[in-house]
Amino acid sequence: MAAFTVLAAALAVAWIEVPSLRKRKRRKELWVFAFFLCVATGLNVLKALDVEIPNLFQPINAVYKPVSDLIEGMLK
Amino acid sequence: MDNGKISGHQLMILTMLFTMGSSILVVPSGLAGTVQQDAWLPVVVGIVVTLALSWFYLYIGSLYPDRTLVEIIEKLFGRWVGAPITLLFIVVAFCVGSGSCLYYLGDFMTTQIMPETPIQYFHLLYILLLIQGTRLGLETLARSAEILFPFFLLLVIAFIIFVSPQIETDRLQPMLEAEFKPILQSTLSYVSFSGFPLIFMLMLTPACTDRGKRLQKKFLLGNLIGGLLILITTILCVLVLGVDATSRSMYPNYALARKINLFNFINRIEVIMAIIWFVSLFFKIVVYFYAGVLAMAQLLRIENYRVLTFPFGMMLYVLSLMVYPDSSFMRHWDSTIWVPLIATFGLVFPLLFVAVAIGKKFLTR
Amino acid sequence: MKRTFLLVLTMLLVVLMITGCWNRRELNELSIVGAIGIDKEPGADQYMFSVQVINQGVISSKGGGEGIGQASVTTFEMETSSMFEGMRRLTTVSPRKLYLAHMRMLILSEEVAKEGVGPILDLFSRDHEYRPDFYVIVTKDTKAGDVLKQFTQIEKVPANKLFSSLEMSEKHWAPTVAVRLDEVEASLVSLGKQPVLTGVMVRGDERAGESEKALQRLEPPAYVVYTGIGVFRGDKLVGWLNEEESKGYNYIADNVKSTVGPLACPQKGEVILEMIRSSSNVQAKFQNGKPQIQIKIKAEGNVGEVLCDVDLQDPKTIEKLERNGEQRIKQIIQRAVDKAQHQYRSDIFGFGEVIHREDAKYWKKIQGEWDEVFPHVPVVVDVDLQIRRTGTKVNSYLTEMRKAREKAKEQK
Repeated sequence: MAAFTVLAAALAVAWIEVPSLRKRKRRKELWVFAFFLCVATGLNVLKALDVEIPNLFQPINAVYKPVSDLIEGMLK
Repeated sequence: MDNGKISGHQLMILTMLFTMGSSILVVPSGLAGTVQQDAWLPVVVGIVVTLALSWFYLYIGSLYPDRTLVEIIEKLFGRWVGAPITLLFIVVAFCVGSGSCLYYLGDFMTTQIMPETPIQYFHLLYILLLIQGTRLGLETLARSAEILFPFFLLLVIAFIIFVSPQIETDRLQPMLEAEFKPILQSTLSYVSFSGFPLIFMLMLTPACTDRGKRLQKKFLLGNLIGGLLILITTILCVLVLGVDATSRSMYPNYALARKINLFNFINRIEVIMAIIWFVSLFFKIVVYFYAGVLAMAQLLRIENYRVLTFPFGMMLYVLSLMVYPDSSFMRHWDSTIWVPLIATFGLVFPLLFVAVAIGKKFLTR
Repeated sequence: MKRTFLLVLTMLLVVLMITGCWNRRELNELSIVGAIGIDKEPGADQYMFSVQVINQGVISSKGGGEGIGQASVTTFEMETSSMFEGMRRLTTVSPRKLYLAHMRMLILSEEVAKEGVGPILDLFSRDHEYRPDFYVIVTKDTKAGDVLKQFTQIEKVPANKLFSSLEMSEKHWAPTVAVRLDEVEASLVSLGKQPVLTGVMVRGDERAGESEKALQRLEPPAYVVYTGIGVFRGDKLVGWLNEEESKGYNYIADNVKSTVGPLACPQKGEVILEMIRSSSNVQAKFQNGKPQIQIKIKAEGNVGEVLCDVDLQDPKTIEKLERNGEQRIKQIIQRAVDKAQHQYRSDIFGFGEVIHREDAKYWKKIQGEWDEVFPHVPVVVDVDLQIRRTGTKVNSYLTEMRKAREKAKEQK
């Protein structure tokens, strides 16, 4: 159900954006829009289906944990 | 490209709101936890540091006037080296910045005001507003900030006046008890909330009609006012709630607003006071969001960034629900990982930019 | 066309969310809680959680309508191991969900206080529905539940009676202290200050006071009264200050707004003084590296009642009365300090915090063993009392009676 809501929302968004882009013949913008809309819809559908999405913070943590530990060690 | 133009005054208001942003909600608690009754001291030091940083960012902006941060990066590093750096900036502004600030809003609402409402709905409501705002453009956003500003100020002043009868000056004493290292640590934490993120304002400054000294003056002034408001609320938290209650509160400012009781008549107005934080949080998120979307548009060289707003808004919805699994992770992450992360983008990269710019000057000579 | 459609769609969506209907709470689904009481049998591992719920129908009806013959409040009790659980389990008894934002009093029983209030208080500051403006009190020689069950005269809702009576007595009589939850928590955490709570007790026949018949009697069979201040060490109640010592505590804590007290007359009898202003200044002074607490009280008063033969027209008498009064206030304060230092060994006055403010380095050294240091800290009390006015009369008829008699004697 939730996944369908997402798809409906994506369709609505496309319905708002695409016609005017096509009228003005903006090929590149259309492709960029389509790409990001697919990514966004994909993410939302995964979220709606309760699929575990890898947290963006994991790689950030991996990089910055040593730095933050160092700072903490220095300031203790 | 966004052809909107904003005035110096509008830029000042946006800078002020961006400086206050989420800091005003969370800073007092963290500071009171580390340096107790001296919580005001790191804020004062932090304001000075932040002013210096803003001056530095504007200097970078003045290297290539009329260029946004993304265009500056491209000028300095060329297209192929510049693109990954820009991408990193976008990730931080869009995914981390606006995602986490949005989570703050949702967490604040579900903790303090409506605990049974699912957090998604607050996020959705704000995202709709964000999309609408960015689609209408920077000019509209700046104007709405200008319109809200007097009311905002009125509320802040009312807030300060209403809680001041409950001040107990003893609570600030003994002064200057904290040691050097904790002060340094909390200053860093203040700057990481209110100072380093200002780098993203460089996406907005080219749209300002003022240039040079006048721009600098407005930018620094906005910064200063925002910092002073944080300082005042921090001091008020300690003076009214005391160190213990401030440091143990999730949102000490809200706890402070709950304390308002004037003549047994003006009381229970904390939800009205919460408008202060809704406004400042909205503009913080919207600046992050706008910066991220505009940066992506400029990176991909598309003329109209507006096509990105809906997809990015949808992504933000998932991201904002994903970034922090719970509120204790949020507090921990903000005080540990966030600090070096934003310092990389607010300090290391800018220094690199200046070094490259100077190096280029020498080479061309 | 498309624009309009979109606009309408967005508006509908926003309207749906912005009303906040998810968390809506309708008045007819709520029970407003006036006060909460917590009891514990000695040795039991469960608490008895009592809630006084306001009976809206009765409170709002003027003269007829629904709710006639019902009491204005209802008290529910529930056995529980934690406060939150008790709170929620009460829905099995109460027909409506309890609404806590209007709670005025939190009553802890003496038993609970003696065992320690630590495991109890957290909920009341963590849950978002409680507001920080209720008072915490502790019962003396009675159960918290019983205090909540007493019918009260004049004020229909007992919780309101407890609330305003505490505020009034703090303002006009002084030996009570209205303590809010955040103050209790702050002094639990602080090393240099211990908590205090005002005591409450039921005087008279408790059982008779629980019946509505009590309201129909001109002389109520039982009253709820505030007595002295309960002294805590850590989170445990260790003892009580009597009325005078409680007043002494309030002089030091700068809580005395107005009070009444007797002064000895130059010969015999008493003059009753009405204190109209009092301010205290507590400082720590260091002599040879040892701290000493100096308490300076500045008070102003009026003569309120004369029970002896004294010539109030004579400035010297006023001066004499002032000295007597200073002596008395000093005595009261010293008694309170003495009891806290030697009998209860609990720094309820926050002298530790005063020392901390004065000399943070010294405090850092002794904060760990402050409990042992506190009883031996010398306390110097200095009182400055000014008697300003003598009321609407100059001399008492007692004086004039004597004078008239003396005159008559002379003339004879």
